[in-house]
Amino acid sequence: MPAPGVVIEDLDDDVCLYRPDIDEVLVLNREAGDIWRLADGDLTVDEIAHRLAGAYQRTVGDLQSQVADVVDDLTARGYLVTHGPAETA
Amino acid sequence: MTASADIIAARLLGIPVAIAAPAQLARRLRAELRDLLRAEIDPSSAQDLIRLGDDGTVEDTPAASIATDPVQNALAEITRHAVLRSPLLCIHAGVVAAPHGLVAIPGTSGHGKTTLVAALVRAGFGYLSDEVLAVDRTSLAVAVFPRPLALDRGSWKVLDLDPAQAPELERLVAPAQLGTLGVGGLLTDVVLSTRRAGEVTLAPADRSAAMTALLSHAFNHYVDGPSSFAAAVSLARTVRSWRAEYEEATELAAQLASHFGVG
Repeated sequence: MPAPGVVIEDLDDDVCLYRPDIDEVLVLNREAGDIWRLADGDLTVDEIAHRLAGAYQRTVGDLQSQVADVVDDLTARGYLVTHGPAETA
Repeated sequence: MTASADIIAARLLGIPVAIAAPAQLARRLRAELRDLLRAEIDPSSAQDLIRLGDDGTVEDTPAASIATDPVQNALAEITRHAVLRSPLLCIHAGVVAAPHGLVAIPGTSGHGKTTLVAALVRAGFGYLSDEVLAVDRTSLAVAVFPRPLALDRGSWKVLDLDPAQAPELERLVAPAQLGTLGVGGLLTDVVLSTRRAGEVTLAPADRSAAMTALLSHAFNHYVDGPSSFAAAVSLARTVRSWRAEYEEATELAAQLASHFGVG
């Protein structure tokens, strides 16, 4: 789920994130932005991949590692925090 | 401070500022910074006082500039003070006016911004600033900050200015010597410029690139980070974003003038 304090703005197809605590901006492209929007704390990485597979008409297998990479990166950068089960984004 | 200090008070970037300078320097500031200081106000209404010494720097403070010309030092001190105290979001960028709106060129010092802005004004754009894009975080209105432009010998040659007037190192040039002043308004275009050898190129860029360029070149975004971020995104939503590559400032200025119907 989004870390507390992160400010979110949509800009065309991109999602712009701002962390006031470290004064950092991160711009996500459309696919990463879609993952961000779905990483609300209620869905697991696999569930996000399933949702996107339908929208992008790609296989879940294609998307699982991409979703996991984006979630891991956003978590490492402090834009997402995990809670509950380990796989919940 | 000498006993013969003179006071100049003006509204700069949204704040009323008083400048105390030795009389001789004050006379030069009134003459050489006349466009910047044109909004003179009653000194008693000024919130801040900048005390300049004979060399144009602020005593007991690390100098913003160490030029031999006191007016250049004073200009650097006045700019630093105004930017740091301004309620506006101040971004390191040149700003010029085209018929359809304002064009910003973000860039750091040494980027070639002043030379490019001077070339744009020579090409017919109106001059707002070579240094500061000042934006109201709510209305997104852009304020003017028409400093004289510091042009070095190389820029003088590129701009094809009178060789007999060329400076040894660098000289402040009044905007009127290059063209006309523009007025405040709304930003319509952001040009992300890069110097490199070869032909001029101008191509659309993502608005997110404009947003990150504006925010990363902000002087005072930290005053209110979230609202500065929101303002930069709002600005980016309203502008066209361009990526330009060029070797000579005059060539890019000619291309932009043609593109924006200037001159």
